Amino acid sequence: MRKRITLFLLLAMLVLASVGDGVLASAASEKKITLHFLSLKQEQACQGAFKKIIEKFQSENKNITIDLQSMNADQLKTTLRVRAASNEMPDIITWMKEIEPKFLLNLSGERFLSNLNSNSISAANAIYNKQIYAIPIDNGYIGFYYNKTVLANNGLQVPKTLSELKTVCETLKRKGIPAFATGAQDLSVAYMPLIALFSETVFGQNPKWSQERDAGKVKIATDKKWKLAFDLHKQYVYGYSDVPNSFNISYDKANAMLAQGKAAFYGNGSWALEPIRQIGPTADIGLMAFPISDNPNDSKLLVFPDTALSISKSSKHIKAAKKFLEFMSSQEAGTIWSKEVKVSSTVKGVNVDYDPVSADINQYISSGKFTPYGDRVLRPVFTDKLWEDFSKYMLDKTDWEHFSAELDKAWDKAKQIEKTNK
Amino acid sequence: MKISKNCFFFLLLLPAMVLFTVFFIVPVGQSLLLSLTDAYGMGTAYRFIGLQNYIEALQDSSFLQTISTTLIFSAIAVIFGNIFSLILAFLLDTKLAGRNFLRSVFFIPNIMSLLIVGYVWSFVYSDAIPDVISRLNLGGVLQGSILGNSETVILALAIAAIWNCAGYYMIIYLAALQGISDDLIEAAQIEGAGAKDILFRIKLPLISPTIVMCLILSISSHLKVFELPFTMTSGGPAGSSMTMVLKIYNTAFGSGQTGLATAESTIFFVLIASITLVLTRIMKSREARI
Repeated sequence: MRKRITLFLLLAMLVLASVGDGVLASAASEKKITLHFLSLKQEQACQGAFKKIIEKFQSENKNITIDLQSMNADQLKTTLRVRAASNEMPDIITWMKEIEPKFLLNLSGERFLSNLNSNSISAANAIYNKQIYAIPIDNGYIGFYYNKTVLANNGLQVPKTLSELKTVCETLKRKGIPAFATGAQDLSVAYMPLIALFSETVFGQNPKWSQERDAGKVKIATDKKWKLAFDLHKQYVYGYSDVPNSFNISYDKANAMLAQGKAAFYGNGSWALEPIRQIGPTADIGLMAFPISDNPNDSKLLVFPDTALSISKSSKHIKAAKKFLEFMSSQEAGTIWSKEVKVSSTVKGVNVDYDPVSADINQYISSGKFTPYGDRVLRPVFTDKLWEDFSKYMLDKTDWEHFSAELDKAWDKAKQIEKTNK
Repeated sequence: MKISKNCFFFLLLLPAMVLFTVFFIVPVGQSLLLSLTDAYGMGTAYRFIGLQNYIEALQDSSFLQTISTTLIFSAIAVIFGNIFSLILAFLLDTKLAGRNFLRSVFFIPNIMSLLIVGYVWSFVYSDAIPDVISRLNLGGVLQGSILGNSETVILALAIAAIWNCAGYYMIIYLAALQGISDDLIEAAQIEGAGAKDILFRIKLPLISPTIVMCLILSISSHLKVFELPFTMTSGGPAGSSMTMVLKIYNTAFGSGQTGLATAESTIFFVLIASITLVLTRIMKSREARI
């Protein structure tokens, strides 16, 4: 009898211990986790979309809280530098090319990658030699928005060739209408069309241009395609804008000029669509690639993975961070993002008709008339020099010889810095 | 006994010295060391490269241009700013009606952040003035953008800077003017001195130490200008309003070249210290003569 009681007690203790372990384990797994997420998406729509997605995620993962902080690119770079030095990197970051891969977690082989368009993943990680550090959540573009009403009211059609564009610009000029809404008060408004142009003239025609430049086979100074991009920018995008007032035109004003039909064309990216729609919700707007020659097939739209997320290598909550990225790659999150931000999602099966311009973009993509290589595949030291000096060429403050020599010098320096920092 | 007394004073000074060393001497030393390395981006591992960053900075024409831009801006803002502040102080030193109210009004811009001042003046130059020009049909005479013209942009920035700090220097000048004894002025008037004599022979010489102090303060403050070109022009058009600090900021945070940016800021420090030192010497010797 005593033996039985002892056996029963032992069994009972074992059961209790295992139950206890389970409870403890479950309690441990339910331990509250806060993921720190630093984002450079400051636009109202992006912040709203992140908020909605995070709320959904948190409702499904009660033990995980996401602390989202949004700041501009410069602030993010500074914050990350300080945090990297003190080994306090955030768990999740909106990807920037300036963040060196040694700070990021390699996500190659993660199961949730199969939820995303593989071409977008490859393009987002083009600079990483087949490793995956950036998880793209949307496809952005930089192209030329056009106001169909302005063109129609002046008896004009959407130009397909450079000659047609010249005719359109001249016609509008005679009528006192600036063809392009180009502002220089925010330098980015003048810079974005330039990115679209060199991605078309240089990388659209030769996707391996960067490798050839690194190998010393080509140079900016002797490449007519680079010169063509800068000349088209100077002669058309700036030349046919409201030149005397261009330095009074900010990003908001340029968006308004297109939305209100005060200009026919406006070179900018996918992020400009939402503010354009806030001003002109029903404006009849299309999107085109810049006609760089008299062959319409040379025109290619710059379509690239835009917003991408990364996990910090030193994150203490890698499992939870991956869980969030997995949720971001779900159709539910992809749909919210696409609808709110008005962009095309990289999540397979998410096809939100977010705006009439999406039809134009899809046409460029389906016909293969797009290039994924813009300034994001270029090194920061080079793009910084480009940003600093492009307006000097645009405003005739320097000549091509000097300007291109400076850019070549910056390219070599950027390459050297990358080599020594590897 | 003397040693223990010195020890006592040393102990009193010790907390301040420790704080000064930790928060000033060490960072300055570290940044000097950083300027001799190839520090880049978020990386924490550097290589010693000697004076290469200094050579590169001094060979960079765009960096050298920022020195002249900063000096021109500072010269305009310091000279006209101090003249304007002096005029305001003289006005408010009279028995002008509502002078207490005006004192506050003139001082208000100084309590505003320079970033806000930048956005306010950006609106003035880019929206308000063009709007007035178009309403008055002066488009034919006054065409173009103030901030988009390389010939007017520095002056435009200097006006914003003067607007911001005139009230501050006005208060200092006013305090100095009010410190002049009324007996002295009355005596001069009895001796037949006119308003011009009182101004140039009595008031200005007596407040000359204050003028020297305000000049030195405004020189060092305007040489460090960053917020105004950052918010109003981004250094444009075509780099014509790129000041030294903005350039250093772009080098450090735009292209991530921390080592080069630190070398640029060391050059900037040497420049600002030299100018201040030379001017202090000149002003002090003139002051002594007066």
